[in-house]
Amino acid sequence: MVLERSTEDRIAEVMYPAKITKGVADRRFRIWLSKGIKALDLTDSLTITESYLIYLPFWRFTAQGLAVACGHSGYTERSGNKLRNEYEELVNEEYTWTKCACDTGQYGIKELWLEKGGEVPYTPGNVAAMDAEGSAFDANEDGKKAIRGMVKADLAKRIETVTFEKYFIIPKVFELVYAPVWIFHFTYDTGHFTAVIDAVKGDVIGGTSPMNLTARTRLMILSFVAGAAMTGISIALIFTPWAAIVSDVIQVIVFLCGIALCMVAYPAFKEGKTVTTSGTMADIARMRPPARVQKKLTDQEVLHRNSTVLQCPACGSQLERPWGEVVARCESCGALLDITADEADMVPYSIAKPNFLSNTAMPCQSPEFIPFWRFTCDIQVKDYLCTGKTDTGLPDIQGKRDYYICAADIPRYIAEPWEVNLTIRNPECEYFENNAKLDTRPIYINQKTARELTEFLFLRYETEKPGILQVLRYDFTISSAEIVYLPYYKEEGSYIPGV
Amino acid sequence: MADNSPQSLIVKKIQRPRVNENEAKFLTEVWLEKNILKKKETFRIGKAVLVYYPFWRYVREDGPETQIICKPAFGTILSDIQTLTPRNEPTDAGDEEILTPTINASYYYPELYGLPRGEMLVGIPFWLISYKYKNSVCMLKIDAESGKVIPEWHPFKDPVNWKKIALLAFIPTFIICALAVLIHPIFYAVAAVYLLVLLWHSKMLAILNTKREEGIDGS
Repeated sequence: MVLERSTEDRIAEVMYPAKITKGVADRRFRIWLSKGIKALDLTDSLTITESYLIYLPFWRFTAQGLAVACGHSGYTERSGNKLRNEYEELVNEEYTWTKCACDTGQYGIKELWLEKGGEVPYTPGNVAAMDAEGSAFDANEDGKKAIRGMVKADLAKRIETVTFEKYFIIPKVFELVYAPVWIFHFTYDTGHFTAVIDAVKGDVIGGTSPMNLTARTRLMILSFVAGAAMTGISIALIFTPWAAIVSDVIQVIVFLCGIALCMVAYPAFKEGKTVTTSGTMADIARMRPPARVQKKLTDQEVLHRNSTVLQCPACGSQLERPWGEVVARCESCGALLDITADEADMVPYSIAKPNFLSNTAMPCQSPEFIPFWRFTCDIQVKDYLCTGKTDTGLPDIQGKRDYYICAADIPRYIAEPWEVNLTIRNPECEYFENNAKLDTRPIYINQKTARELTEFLFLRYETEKPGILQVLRYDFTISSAEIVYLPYYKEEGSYIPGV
Repeated sequence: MADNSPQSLIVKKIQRPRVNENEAKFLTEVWLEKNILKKKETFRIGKAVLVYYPFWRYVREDGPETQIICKPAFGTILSDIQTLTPRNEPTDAGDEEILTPTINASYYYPELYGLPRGEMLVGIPFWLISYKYKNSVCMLKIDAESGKVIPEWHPFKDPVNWKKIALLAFIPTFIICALAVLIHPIFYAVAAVYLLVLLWHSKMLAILNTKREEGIDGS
């Protein structure tokens, strides 16, 4: 897991290299023209006015969605018995949200169609690319909101009545991705049309084309004839003496179906897909150079913003603002700093010594010092209901205790068991002096993210206990936060704790 | 040769517009009447904006001829502006609003042929004109140098009278089916035959008489 990149100063920009040549794109375009209910003589009568390669920008936001939800779903059996199934759901998955960062007019391209993998760094100027419009900050917020919605939708699949839910979004990467497309502008009869072809896989992903008018006309005729027959018969039946054998309800239903068929068919076949009108005055404004709008500070933020220069709170030296929110060392005094967009706070830290047992077991090996956020938390559970609970002897982690969250770039599936073990049994260690020159692993998870992971650790622990959690209300307070470097010995791809 | 770093791309020359706003609106009206509007249909022309798009102006010597080709120096999916051949010499730019170029000159080298004799960034003016037609706001752009109308987003003139088709299909079938219930089932066969006739002639029905009446003054 890596940190969320900055949403304002610099955005990571990557692009997919184009793999489809113009000739291949042209062949795919002509195959597309010959499929579907397009104008019959389209391939012979069209004139391609332009064909060119261009890169479209997309915002891409990747985040880890963490959620816990409990509740129940019920149903009634034929015998009348009401049954209730109780559920607890745990979501811990990576979600990706994408959105087109430019105006593609009527071509209908809204999301990135390419999977992750194969991207190369984007170099401005070397390819023809549409410029990204709008604010990266807004896009980031939209992405968070959308991923929250995805997590919620995943949870809601099974649970009808939710009794407890909690979501966390751990941002990973926010970037601008350029995807190559071949654009074919062509004319047919009096119309101008466009096809957009993916220049990586060669699929037609958008555009407009003239439809087969004869097919549309025939479909409309069939619909109207069917509708007219239904309405005509149902009305005529009212005046016939032998109509009593047909229920009145059936007559009304047939009549309404006939009317509905005509009402649906007329706009559906009249509009078709050739009539594409878009563009407003706002679109004209967007033809101007799109400015990457910076985040607007509120009055309150402006008032409390002392300086645009970040200084180390320990030694006062000017910090070169790093990319994004990170925890980094001051190059002058070595203090550990939690750097956010506007300020740098000192983070207390300590480095644990390997214990006697590990020193004896690994005499010739030096440990790696892996950073952990250690939060002193107080969790007071106010309301708790768990059905089917059995006592397994697992200790409670409520109350006041230290919670550990791995801050290094170590896969979460490895780090999570460490965090649980360290939290259940807070280790007692001896520490080096802070000026000790030891090789420590860099910190990739900032305090804000780690705080959310702490709460999720507690919730995950509670849901993983036997029984089905239904209600959980609690007060969660963090009284102190610091970084602790714990020694781990690396052996054949696995880590052996040194405390 | 131009400096290839994108930061140094500055447009210092422009092509002077020869079409003013009123002329551009007049050209729009003429184009709409010819290509979009049906009888008695109205439209309203809105705002016109003059925008200078940055283009790379390549001069290439190809045998005895010297060719001048302009290629867009910005990413765009607008139609009909991928290759332009301006007629006039560019002049120094003043305080005109020109879009920022983002593409290096070298990007188009593989598409060009002939001996290179020069290249520079020029701003080429376009009128972006919006018009309201039915319930849509659409857009045209006009090359402000040549006066060429380049349709961008516009409604297609639908060559089918859908109301006529709907009525032709509905009313007779409704009557025939009602007669089939009230008088004799043989009318169902009549309805089927009528349907076949309609389908048979559907291609003919789909064609609208697109001939336009000529005005007294020949307009």
